[in-house]
Amino acid sequence: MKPMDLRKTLGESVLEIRGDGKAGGGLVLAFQSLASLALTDPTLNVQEWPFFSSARRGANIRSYVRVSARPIRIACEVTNPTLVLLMDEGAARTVDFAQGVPPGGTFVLNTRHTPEVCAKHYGLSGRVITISGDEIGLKHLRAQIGNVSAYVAMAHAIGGFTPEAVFDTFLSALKKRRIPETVLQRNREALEASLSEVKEGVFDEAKPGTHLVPPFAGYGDLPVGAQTALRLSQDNLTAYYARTGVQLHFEDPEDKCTGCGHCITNCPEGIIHWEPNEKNGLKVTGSDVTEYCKLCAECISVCPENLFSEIPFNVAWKEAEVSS
Amino acid sequence: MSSIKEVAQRDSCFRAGSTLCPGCMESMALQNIGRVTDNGVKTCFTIGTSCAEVSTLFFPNVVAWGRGESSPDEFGKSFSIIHNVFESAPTCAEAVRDVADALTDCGALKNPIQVFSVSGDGGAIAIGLRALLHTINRRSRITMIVLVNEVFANTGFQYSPAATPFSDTSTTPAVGDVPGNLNPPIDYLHMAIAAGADLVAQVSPAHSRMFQKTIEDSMAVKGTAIVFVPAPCISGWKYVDGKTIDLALDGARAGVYPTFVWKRGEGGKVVDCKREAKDRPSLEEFLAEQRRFVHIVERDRKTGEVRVKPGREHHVEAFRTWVQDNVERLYQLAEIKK
Repeated sequence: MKPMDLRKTLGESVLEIRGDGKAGGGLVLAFQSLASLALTDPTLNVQEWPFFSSARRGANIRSYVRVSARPIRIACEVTNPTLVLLMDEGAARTVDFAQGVPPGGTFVLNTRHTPEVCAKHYGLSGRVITISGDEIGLKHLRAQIGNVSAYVAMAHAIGGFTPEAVFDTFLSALKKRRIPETVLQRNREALEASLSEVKEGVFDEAKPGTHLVPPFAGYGDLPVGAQTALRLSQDNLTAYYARTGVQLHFEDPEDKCTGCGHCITNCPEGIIHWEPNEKNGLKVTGSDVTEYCKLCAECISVCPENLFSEIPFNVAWKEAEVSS
Repeated sequence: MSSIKEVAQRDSCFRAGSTLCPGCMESMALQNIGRVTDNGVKTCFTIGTSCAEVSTLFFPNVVAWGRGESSPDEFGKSFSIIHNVFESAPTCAEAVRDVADALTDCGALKNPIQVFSVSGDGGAIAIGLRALLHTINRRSRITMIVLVNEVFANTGFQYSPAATPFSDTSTTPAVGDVPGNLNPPIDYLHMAIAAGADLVAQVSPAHSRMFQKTIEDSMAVKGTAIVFVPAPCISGWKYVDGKTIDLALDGARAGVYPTFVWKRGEGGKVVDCKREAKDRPSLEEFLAEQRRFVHIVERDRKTGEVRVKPGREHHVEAFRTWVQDNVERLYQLAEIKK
C-alpha cells in the first residue's frame, strides 16, 4: 500500500473529498473555505455542497468537495473519496467516515489522539493526519470548535497552498458571514497555531472487507428514521446530538428531590424517569441518557436542588472501535 | 385546575426522538401541551409547517406515536395529528371541529373532542395571517398555539413579522450602520382580540404553572382561544446551551414579550412584568445573552459587565422606548373587557 499523491489525483482525474461532522460544528464553513482555497488556483475546477436534513444542531451532516484540473462532469454523491475528514468523533457513532476510501487514501481527523492510535482504532490504511482542533479552538476561540484546524489540516493534506492563501481564504469566508473584527483576529491566531499542530503518518491497519460501500439495494426498505437511504440519522437515537465527550448525570444520594416536576414537564424529550412517592407525590429517579438525551442542559438549569450535572463520557471513541 | 405535579405524572403524546435542536422551546411547549391534553378527552392536533412539524413527522419514526402504554382503542387517551402546510393549521382545525360537531349532532360521535392547531410564527403571522384572522373571526371552538421564535428557523433564520427590533436575521442583517431589523413587530395580541378571539394569551413554558393553566383554560372557553408561545430559538437567537428557560423568563420580565392573558368578558392581566421601566430587570442583560444583538450590546469577557457598543446608544434607547410602549400597550389591552 502506497499513499496516493492528492495533487497527482486532482491533476489526472478528480480529487473527491468527504467530511463527516455534526450540525453546528462548522463543517460546512470548513468545506466552503476549502473550495474557495482551491479556486484561488485558476487552473482548478471545484464542486462543493453540504448535505443535511432539517435537523439543525447536533445531527450528523456531511459535506463534499470535488477538485480537478479537468472539467468535472459528474454531479452525484461522493462514495469513494480519496480524502475524508472526521470533524467530530461523535459523528463516527452513526456513520463509517472511512467508508469507500481506497487503500492509500488520506484520512484527516479532528482528535486528541495520535495518527497511530487512530489508524489502529478505526482500521485505516493510508495517510492519517490528526489535529487537536477542539483544544486549539478552546484556547484561541474559547469554544470547542475544530473547523479552523480541520480546514488547515485538509489544506496541508492536499498540499501546494501557501499559508497566507490558506489563512486569507478562511478569514474572507468568515467576513462574508459578518463575523466581528476581534473574532477574526482570534481565528487568525487559531489558524496560525493549527499549522504547527498537524501530525501525520502512513499506516496499513485496515482489515480486508472493512469500510466497504454496501451495494445499492434500491429505496424499498428504508432504515428507521430515514426519508431516503441517504439520510444520516439512521436510527433516530437523538442522544447522538449531544456534545461529544459529555453526558447527563443524575445523582440524589441525600434524597433531596422535592418532586416539583419542573424537570419532567420541561424536558424537551420527556425522558425524565420518576416514581410515585408518598411524601412528595413523585420522585425523580434519573433519565434515559443513552437513547434520546440531547444534553440541552435545561434540567440542569431548572432543578432547584441542582441534582443534574454533566459528566465526561468517552463512549463515542469506544463505540467506533467496535463498529470498525 | 391540575398542579404541575399532577401534569408531570400524565403521559405526553409527543414522545422522545424529535430532530429539534437540543434545548428548543418548541419541544418544551409540545411536551407541556402533550401532558396537559392527557385529560381523558380525545385530542386532535393540526400542525402547520414549522420547525415543530418538520422535526416530528419523519416517517416511519414519527414522534407523536402514542400516549404511554395505552392502546389506540382507548378513546380518552387517543389523539390524532393532521400535518398541513404553513397557513392551513387553523382552518384545518376548524374543519375538524365542524366535522366533530356534525358527527355529534347525528349521534355518530358519543364523546367530546378537543382541537388544537399548532403553527410557527412564520406560518401563522407571516404566511397565514389571513387564514388565522378569518378562523378567529368565525369563532370556531378550537385552541390555536402559535410558537413565536421570531424567525423562519428551519429555512435559515430569515426575518418574520414577529422579529424583535434590532435583531440580526439573515434577511435583515446587521451590516455597517444598519442595526438589523428596523420594523417593530406586528401587534398580534391586539389583532387577535380585535378579530374576536375569546382567550388571547402570550405565555411560555418558562412560567410553567401559568402556561399549563392557560392551556387548560383555552380548552374550556366557548369560542376560539389563541396562545402565543414566545419560543427562544437556540440556533437563531444564538445563545449558550441550557439557557432557554432563563432567557424566556428574562425576556418576559424585561418587557420584550411580557406574559399576558386576556379573556373576553373578564379582561386581562400582565403577569410578572412591571409597568414602570425602573422596576423591570435590565434590558441590556437580556440582549447580551444573545448573539443576534451582538452589534449593539456586548459583554466584557473578563468582568462579565454588559455595555452598549460605542455609537449604538441611540439604538438601545430606541429599543428601550419600544419595550416601554410594548408593556404600556399590553397593560392598556388588559383593561379591555370585550
